[in-house]
Amino acid sequence: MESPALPGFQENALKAFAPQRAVREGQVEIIIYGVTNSVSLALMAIGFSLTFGISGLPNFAHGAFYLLGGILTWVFMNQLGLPYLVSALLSVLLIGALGFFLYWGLMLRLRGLAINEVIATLAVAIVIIEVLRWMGFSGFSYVLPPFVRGSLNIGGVWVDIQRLLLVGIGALLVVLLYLFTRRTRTGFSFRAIAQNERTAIAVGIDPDWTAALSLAMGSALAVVAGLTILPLGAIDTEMGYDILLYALAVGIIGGLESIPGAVLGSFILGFSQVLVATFLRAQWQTVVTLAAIVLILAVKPSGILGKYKELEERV
Amino acid sequence: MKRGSWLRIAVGVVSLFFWLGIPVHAAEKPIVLGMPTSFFQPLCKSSKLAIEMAIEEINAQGGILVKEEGVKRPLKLVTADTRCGEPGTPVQSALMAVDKLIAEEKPDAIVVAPFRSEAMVATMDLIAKYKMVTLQSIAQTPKLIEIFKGDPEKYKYWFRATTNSVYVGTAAAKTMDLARVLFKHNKLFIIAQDTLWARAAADAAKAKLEGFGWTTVGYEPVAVGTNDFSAILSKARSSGAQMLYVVGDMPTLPVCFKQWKSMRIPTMLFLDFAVVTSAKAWKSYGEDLDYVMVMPFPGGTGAPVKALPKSIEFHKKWQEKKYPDMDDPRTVSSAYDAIYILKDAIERAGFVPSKDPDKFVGFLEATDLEGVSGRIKFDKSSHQQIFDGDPKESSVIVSYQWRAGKMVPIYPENVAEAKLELAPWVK
Repeated sequence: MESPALPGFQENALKAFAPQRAVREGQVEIIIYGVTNSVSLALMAIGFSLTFGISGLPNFAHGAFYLLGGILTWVFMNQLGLPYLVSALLSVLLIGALGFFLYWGLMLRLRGLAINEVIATLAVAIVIIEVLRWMGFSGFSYVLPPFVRGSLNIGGVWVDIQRLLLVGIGALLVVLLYLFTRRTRTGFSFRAIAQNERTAIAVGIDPDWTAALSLAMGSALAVVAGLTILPLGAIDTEMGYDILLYALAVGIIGGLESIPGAVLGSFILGFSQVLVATFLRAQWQTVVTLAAIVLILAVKPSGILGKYKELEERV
Repeated sequence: MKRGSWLRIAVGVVSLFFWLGIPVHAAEKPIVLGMPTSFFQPLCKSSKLAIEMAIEEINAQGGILVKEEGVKRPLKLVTADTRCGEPGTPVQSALMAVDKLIAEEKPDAIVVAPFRSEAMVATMDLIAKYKMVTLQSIAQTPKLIEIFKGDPEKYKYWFRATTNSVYVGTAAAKTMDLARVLFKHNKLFIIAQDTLWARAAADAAKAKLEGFGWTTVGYEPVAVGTNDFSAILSKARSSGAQMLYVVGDMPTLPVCFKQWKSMRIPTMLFLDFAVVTSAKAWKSYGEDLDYVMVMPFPGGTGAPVKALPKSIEFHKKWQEKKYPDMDDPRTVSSAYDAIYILKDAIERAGFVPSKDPDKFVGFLEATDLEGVSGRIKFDKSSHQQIFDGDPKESSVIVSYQWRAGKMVPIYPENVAEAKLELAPWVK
């Protein structure tokens, strides 16, 4: 059935306001997708920053843990028939445990040797990613279901519910981490070690136990990020390297050891990418990431909220 | 009975069989088929299964009758991993794998051949050097035809028993053009992965569609690893595009079609992305694929088509074998057909390709049999399998539209089982 014709003045009014509506929707779209893109980046980086901020350990296996967590969840669901929630929880716990034992089994012997720590964790990443590739976990068939299917219309812009949940989960994680570091004994010990390791030891805090816990938590957070972001696309082994790159980029911009820095860095990077893709060309999104790293390293080497370089220079 | 007597009886029985012309299957030397390709790639793994399926079928009937030898000889497959589908593998490594296979296994013919076009281009000289009859069925570059035409006498042992990128580009453009014919759409927006092959495919489709009367209102190359397509899709929306052509093979590409649907982008979507062209894709992505147009290359390789009876048989046999669903079905049916092309030519020639490759080439050129994608014939001037619009006259490329979990053939017209439908949010 054809819709009834609008009276002339209504039709004219709609035509007159159409460009303005399109502009407004375009702006809303930039804000919504800028936020979702930024929170995705924050989720990718937050675990890396947590571990580095507390123990000074650069966990270059972060991206591999993100990937492994996603694949384990897929295997638990599709091969063992476990429910999604159980599979997800199991993966978070297993990868957390893997991070914990990675510290005791390998990183403990390398503490203080920065280059060796990087090489060791990078080697772990390569082993995990390449073994997964060898086992055939590539080919786009490995997909995690979204928590909730469907889209919502916000201010004339359609957004999938999974992306909105992603923003909620990202915000919740930041709040929980804030409360954890300021309201719990373990959180206090994390902050103490981060601020001054020698003084912390003097008051009875075990630095190795704290570092192992931070690596476990950072690894578990990598899986949480994976479980939230992966349903938006598919799981592929190449992602192991990409996620590490994003985590590093966000960390370098915001400050590698700072969680607020990671959040700030991800918003700068996330919005830059969306704005560049909207007003210039999408292929320059990667250039923005790399240019931001170079710029920040040149102007403020510790990152916007980082303190490492400044402390070194003061000493 | 004495041992000597048993021996005499056995020799007598075998002689009698020979005299009567009855093949003694178990004793016959197999016809060896070499398959040097990159087994890291899902497409190559599935191609191997397809070849094994054809070989089992033929061997179950006693093998291929080689008239000059008066026997039926079974087929045997030997493989070599060229690794050319793995990142960073140099062409030289692939060539060495092919050379080693030919030198050590002495195959009677080669099937499938290297995965990457670059490696296949380099393999052409090896094929010529060893006079190795080759039914190549993956690499799509038109460069191979150029090489062949540069010296047909030297390269005559090479046949492409599948599509090539020119056929594929043309068929993709004609499929998208259905929207102009049916709905008067004429505005095209392209999202191409920023790699040479994807940009080339996009450029080819753009040129073809503009020739059909389309206007390109946007062309966005995207960097490998792009994981949010919202800004580009918004551009597509605001440009007034009616057809979105997305081409690439990067791991984050599923994000693009999922966002196309979740953002209700008011365009049709033609996705040039191998992994969404088989039944398995629906298991992975479900309703996110609804209304997406896809094109696995040779007709019937991705899903059965009623107008191609062999494609129905092929998929039925695949299921009966309980083979895993294909991740990437492009050209898998061509690998299967290649074995039957060889069987047909050997039976007509009466000898195996390695016995007299120069003479055997003529029998391959005269191929005319029904395969999964229609009637198989080769163009003598290019040794390219002919693909056109009528499966009774040639092979065909078929495009599909995903609808409620099924790949429905929509192109070409004479094999289509339904007309292209607009997604509900597209006007």
